[in-house]
Amino acid sequence: MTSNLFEFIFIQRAFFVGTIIAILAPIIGIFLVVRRFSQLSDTLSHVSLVGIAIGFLLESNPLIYAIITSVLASLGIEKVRQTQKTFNESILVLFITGGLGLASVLISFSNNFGVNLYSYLFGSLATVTESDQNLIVLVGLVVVIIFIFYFKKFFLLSFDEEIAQTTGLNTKYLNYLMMICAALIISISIRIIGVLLVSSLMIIPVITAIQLKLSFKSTLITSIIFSIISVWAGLLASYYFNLATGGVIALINTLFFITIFIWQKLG
Amino acid sequence: MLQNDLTLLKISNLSFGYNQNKVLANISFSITQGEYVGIIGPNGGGKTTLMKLILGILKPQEGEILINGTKISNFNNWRQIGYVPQKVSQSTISFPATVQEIVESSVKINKKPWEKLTGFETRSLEKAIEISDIEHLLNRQIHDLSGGERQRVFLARSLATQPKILILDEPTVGVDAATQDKFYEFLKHLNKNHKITILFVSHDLPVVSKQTSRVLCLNHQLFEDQDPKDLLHTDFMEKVYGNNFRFITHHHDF
Repeated sequence: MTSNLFEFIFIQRAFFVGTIIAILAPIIGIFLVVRRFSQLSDTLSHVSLVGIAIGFLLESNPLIYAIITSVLASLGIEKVRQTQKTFNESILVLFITGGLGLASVLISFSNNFGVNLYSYLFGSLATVTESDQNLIVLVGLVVVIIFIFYFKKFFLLSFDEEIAQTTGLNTKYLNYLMMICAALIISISIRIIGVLLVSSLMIIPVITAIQLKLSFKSTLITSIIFSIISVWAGLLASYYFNLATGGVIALINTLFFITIFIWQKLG
Repeated sequence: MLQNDLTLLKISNLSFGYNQNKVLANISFSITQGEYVGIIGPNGGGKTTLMKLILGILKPQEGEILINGTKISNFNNWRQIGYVPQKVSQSTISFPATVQEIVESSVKINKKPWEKLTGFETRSLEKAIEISDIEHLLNRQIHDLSGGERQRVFLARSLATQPKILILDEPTVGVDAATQDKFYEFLKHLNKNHKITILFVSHDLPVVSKQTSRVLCLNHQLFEDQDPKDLLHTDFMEKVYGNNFRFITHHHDF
């Protein structure tokens, strides 16, 4: 049965791209969680919808425009966060509502967008094209290289920004870099997981792993394992039972969280 | 004040303000190697701002800060400066990391992914862990520790780079009296036996008076460079804290 499944190019592509995203999402997710900025993933994914709408209107690859709008929004959020510290996380509401408002206006201009809207909102394995795959691999590679080189700096920045400053780190630059990486990963994740459920892959595996009280590195590795299992299971369920990929991924991750939560309480 | 070869920190005519509010005005002092200096003063008097300027978090608006003879804007050897913060940040409270990861972060921060610690760095790390007495805590999560244990971890983290000067901003806030005493005794030990210069901010006047070799009294301007023995006098304290200053003494029974 499984051998038949992998005869299809689109399935191979979905698993390949899905695994890349499953690895990348918790890498940025763990930093968002510990910095109490988890809502950023929802905000940027909703803003990405603006780019997707623009892509459809211009009859070009929506993913490219999703990446651009997401990165621009991340820079805007960071700028406001650094200059108006009193807003804190509430600034995300401005971007999420503004982004959704603009996206819905743009969507109303397009005649054929409605057909594809569902796949962008909830994710779909059949919609991943070869150009999407190439773009996701390229962006993923860039983000991984950045994280390999900056992991220790991001760790200290997230632990305590003031201590990070006293070691001579340029925290302003690092904050912008981290936000851009988050924007890149969130926008490329939309293809598989969908706009509405990006957080389920980026945040839930991390908070599930945090419950196990491991070291930072082990927490990250464990959350990546949860994330990969959920993506593979989501893709299989999507293929065999014609279910929305993102929905199944979100459910599996939620189930992981609840199971470990109960196990910890009973233990 | 003349700068000699042992001067670690020299501040000249330093002024700083937030918007229109002048917080520090015309501050000048020097700290030489081996000193144990306390900074006291009322809330809002500019103590934490002064710390942040010395640590390079804020930039001087007027005047100059020299660390080891180098202007702070050109200074890049931050390993020479150890810092223990006033209180843990919000994220630290639930941060999923072990004590070992936190302590190691100070020596690994500028390492390339493929670079390992040198023998010297490993020994410094082990020594910092040993003298801070946190070997038994290394595998614990940072947020599982008590306030006193956490401060020792932050101290070990600072000591791991073998700093020339250790800067502490009210390091025992929220820590019980017995743990405070142990902590300050340990600082004295570091100063005396390991020759580490210490600069710390505190509201606890008896502690500052007992522990330090010199006291700086700060209330927007530097009132006096004071001998700690002369600190606990109402006349002097009124100058720094205002006319409502009163000493209230009481006894602890442990």
